[in-house]
Amino acid sequence: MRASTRYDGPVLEVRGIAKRFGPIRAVRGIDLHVEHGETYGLLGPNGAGKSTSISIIAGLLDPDAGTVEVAGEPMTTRSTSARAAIGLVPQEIAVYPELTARENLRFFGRLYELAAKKLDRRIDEVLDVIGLRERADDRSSEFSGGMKRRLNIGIGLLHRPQLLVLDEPTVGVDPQSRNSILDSVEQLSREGMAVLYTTHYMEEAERLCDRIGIIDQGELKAEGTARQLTASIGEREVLRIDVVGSVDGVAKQLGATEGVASVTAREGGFDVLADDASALVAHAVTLITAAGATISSVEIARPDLEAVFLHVTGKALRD
Amino acid sequence: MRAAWLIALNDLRQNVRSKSIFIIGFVAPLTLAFILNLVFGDLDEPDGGLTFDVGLAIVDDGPTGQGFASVVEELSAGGLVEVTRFDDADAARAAVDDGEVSASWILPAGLSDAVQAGAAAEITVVGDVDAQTTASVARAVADGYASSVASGRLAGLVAFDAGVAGLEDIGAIAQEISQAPPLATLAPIEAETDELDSATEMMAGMAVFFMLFTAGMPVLSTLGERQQGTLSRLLAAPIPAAAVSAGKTIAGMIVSVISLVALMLASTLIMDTEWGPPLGALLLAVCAVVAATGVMSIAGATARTAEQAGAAQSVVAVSIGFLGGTFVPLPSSDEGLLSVLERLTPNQWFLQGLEAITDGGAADAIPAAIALLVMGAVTGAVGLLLARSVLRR
Repeated sequence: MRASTRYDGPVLEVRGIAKRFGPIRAVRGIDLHVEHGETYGLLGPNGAGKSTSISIIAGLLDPDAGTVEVAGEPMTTRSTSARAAIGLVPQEIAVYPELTARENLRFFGRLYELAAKKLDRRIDEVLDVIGLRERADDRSSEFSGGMKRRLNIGIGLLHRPQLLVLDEPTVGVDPQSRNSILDSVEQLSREGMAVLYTTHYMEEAERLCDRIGIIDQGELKAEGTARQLTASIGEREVLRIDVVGSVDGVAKQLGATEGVASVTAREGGFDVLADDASALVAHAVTLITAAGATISSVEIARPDLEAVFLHVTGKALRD
Repeated sequence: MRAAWLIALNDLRQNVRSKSIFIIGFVAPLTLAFILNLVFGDLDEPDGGLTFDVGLAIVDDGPTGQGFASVVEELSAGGLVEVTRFDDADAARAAVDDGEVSASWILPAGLSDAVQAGAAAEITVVGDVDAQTTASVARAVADGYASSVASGRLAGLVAFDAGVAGLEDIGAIAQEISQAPPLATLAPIEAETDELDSATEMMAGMAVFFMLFTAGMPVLSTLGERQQGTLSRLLAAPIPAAAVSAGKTIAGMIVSVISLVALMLASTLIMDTEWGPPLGALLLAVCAVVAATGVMSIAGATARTAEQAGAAQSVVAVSIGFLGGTFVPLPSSDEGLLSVLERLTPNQWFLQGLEAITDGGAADAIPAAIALLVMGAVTGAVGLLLARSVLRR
């Protein structure tokens, strides 16, 4: 079996990685580490640099600067031993549609040099974990989107990696399959596997991750447990207002109001981070009404990762 | 190398499952071979494959009519014409009108008397307007016979002037000369050069042309995997990136060799093509696949998607087909740009090798095989360099 021996230090150690594509600086000096049994969430909107960071960590791209070590082995596009310690689950459904679930697992298992008998046993175990035992001999082209996603994860688990890298594994899946995937990740974490999980779904990061890094514009803006991150913005609240109509200039006026930390205009409304959201409602309603728009809903939320993201980046997570 | 074979086998399995490889590698070329056989299948038969159906009505019962009959019999025995005899001129004309024959010769009563008397004599040729070629052939035969009769009559007149024959002998002399064998005849020339027969040459060109498409598989497959996301998974596995390229190249070459050899065997069975000694032909087939794989790896390497690469490879394959003489014969010349470009195509070297082994033995394939391997090595090296950017793009 092609796998690295267990390394006692951090499973993943990333130091100052940077990557540029022409004029675009996709990643700008990211540092992070993941310990054994830890689930680390990389939270950021589309285009924040998550997938580029994952590609560098998995050895698909060489960074322009910085280093990556996986299980103590340096990771580059030419290193093979570090790769044996990683199980990559790409954002795309990276399975062969003409092959059955079992054939997909067997092919990738052989690439990791799993011995035939061990491989067959391991394939059955993985099929149980991803809930596809009954459909093991069906072609993956006949699977639903959720089943393909689960097979996608199963391939990454096959060789018992020290670090499982999941790049947005729940994009485009139904709620039932999403729940099944999240259950599987929780189970793996309990079994001691280190997981690097990228997502732009705040709920997933809150549910799964021991620590979370907030990434935006290629930079790691904040890092910590969900509790640490929410505590970092103090007792602030989020005032979410949905409006119908034009609200030109309202965001700027709200931002200038005393006690407002930040205002993010999004499609169909605002997210306002404020010391006392309740006290701000009347003023906000006045400004919006004066601008000629109609308010469709008002919500005051306790600080959460969404609020943290708003505070750290000045924009909403789903932008 | 183990990883490369795993990837190659995986590619082959998927190709077999998707059936796409059967279409481009076997069904399309074999269908084309079958159609070409229907259209051109008789080109290399000994009689040239051309037979003209002509009616013959000899009402004249003299020596001129008999002489023409014997000429026609010779033509019929040679396979050029298929003759249907009629009792009279009306029946011969009606047969042309009814489409029973494409043309008819009519030798009217009194033709021999007219020839002997030195009067105007006429062989009538009736032709179907929709069968101009047969009518022309019939006319040419009649003209030829009339010329020989006229020559004979002239000879008789000369003999009379010289006092060696009487006036009553002129007709007999004319008759005798018209039936005499010609002083010189044109016989079919057996090919003594090392050229392939036309059916084999055509199939060889077509086989290499279609093989160029299967030879483009490695690039298409790599780009296809990138689009479906599996390429990143392969590159994240603990194997060298070169194993991915190597595996895909092995799969493409296996399919190409099988496709090319299958087409050669099929055309041998259905078109009687002659590929020379099997060992030499197989060597040339393998080397042609190596060269084609190298050329096509360059053709698709700058593309970003499998669709773009497919389009680029099609353009290159058709260009190579033209330059290699697959579609239209090129003017034979050893100089000039066209000649240089011709020598840069796998088609040309494959054909050249086949010509050599057809005339000689399997060992005569070696020069062309070496040329193909060099072509494959040079273009393949460039293709591999470019493939690195495809993998990491």
